Amino acid sequence: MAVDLTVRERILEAGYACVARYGLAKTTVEDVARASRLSRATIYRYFPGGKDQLLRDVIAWETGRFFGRLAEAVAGAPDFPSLLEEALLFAHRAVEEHEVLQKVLQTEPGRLLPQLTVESERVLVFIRRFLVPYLEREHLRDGVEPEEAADYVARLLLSFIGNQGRWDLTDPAQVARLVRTELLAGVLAPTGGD
Amino acid sequence: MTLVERVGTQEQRVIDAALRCIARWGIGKTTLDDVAREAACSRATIYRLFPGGKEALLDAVARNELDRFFSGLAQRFDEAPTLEDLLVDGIVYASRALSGHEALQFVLAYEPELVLPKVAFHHADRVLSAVSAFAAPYLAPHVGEEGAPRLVVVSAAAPPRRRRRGAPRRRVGGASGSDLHTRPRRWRRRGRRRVRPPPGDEVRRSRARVPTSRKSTQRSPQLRSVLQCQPTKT
Repeated sequence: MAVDLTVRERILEAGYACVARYGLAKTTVEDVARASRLSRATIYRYFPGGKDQLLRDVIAWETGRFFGRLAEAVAGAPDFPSLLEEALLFAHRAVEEHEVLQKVLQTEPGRLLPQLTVESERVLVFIRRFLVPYLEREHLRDGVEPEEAADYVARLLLSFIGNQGRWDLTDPAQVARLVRTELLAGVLAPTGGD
Repeated sequence: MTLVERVGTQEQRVIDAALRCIARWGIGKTTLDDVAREAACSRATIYRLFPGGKEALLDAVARNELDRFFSGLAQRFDEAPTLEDLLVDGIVYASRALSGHEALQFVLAYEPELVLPKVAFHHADRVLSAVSAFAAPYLAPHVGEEGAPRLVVVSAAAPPRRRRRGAPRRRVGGASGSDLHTRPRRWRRRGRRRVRPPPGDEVRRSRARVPTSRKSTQRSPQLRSVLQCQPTKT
């Protein structure tokens, strides 16, 4: 696997491994150099901002990978509602089981959350773009554009992924209800007399 | 002591002074000396008013700001004749209050680690249920006891954004492409606003209703459908 990685990715992967082991505060450029078997100079060449930039990019990289995995996991869903259901089930489980994320959230939330908040804008764009083609095929409520609908659904998805509130997102029946009432009722045209 | 009882007291002067200091230097660098100078009192006075020093003072400042925010919001809610007005006015008020809050904006820009852990991920539940508990009585007359808490959760779901270091100060948190700061001109109602009796009042209950005009359907179909809680057919 390491063969195909660009140098940048190799550094990011090593950085991620270091964060998993030492946490955000204690990871040093030296650690990342050792883990990636590169010199410190090489790392500074790719990340001139040093540790701050490196960690920021590691967080962005892993966030991107996370949502890439999510997109892959749901791509085969038979219809749009089940796609959203699968996305919520998968993402909720993946967040809970993400050991590095949970560890850093426990021990260094102050270092992680400001980055994640900045990152969430990019994630929103990513989810929006992912959803638009699906929404274009759906029968939307009068006056609702696919882009608007995608933004609405993306925000709700992200919010529920972050915290489930009064829903139990491990229960497929509840997730199905959540998707049909709160996510889709806002954007899809009602079907038949309801 | 509530906000109103405290007006004009020395306690309030110190709290206001602390807030100005935070807007200027942030939470970390504000010292009790700074606050004392700003409030034109001695440090001993601050310790007398807030036994526990800086921690206790910061607590009081945070409580003060929350009280102020929610009493302003309650006033908007009280005055809104329809559910749509209530939501529009509430959102505009909240986004203005947050983006115009200099101390909050400073802390979000330069010391986000002091605030965000208290409101993100699992802690967001606490915030959402607090907001939910606050807003439910105002929404209940419009959408029924059952729908109210759900509506609040949907409305509050948009995550707040913070200004990036060095980026121009944005007036709106989390608006992403739409300007929540200004009420659209066509939504502005003409003439004086009728003041409603407080929630729970029978008169209010009987008059309150979900807007049903065709126009309002066109304005915010998403909102309407969530309010009506219509599931799409499976």
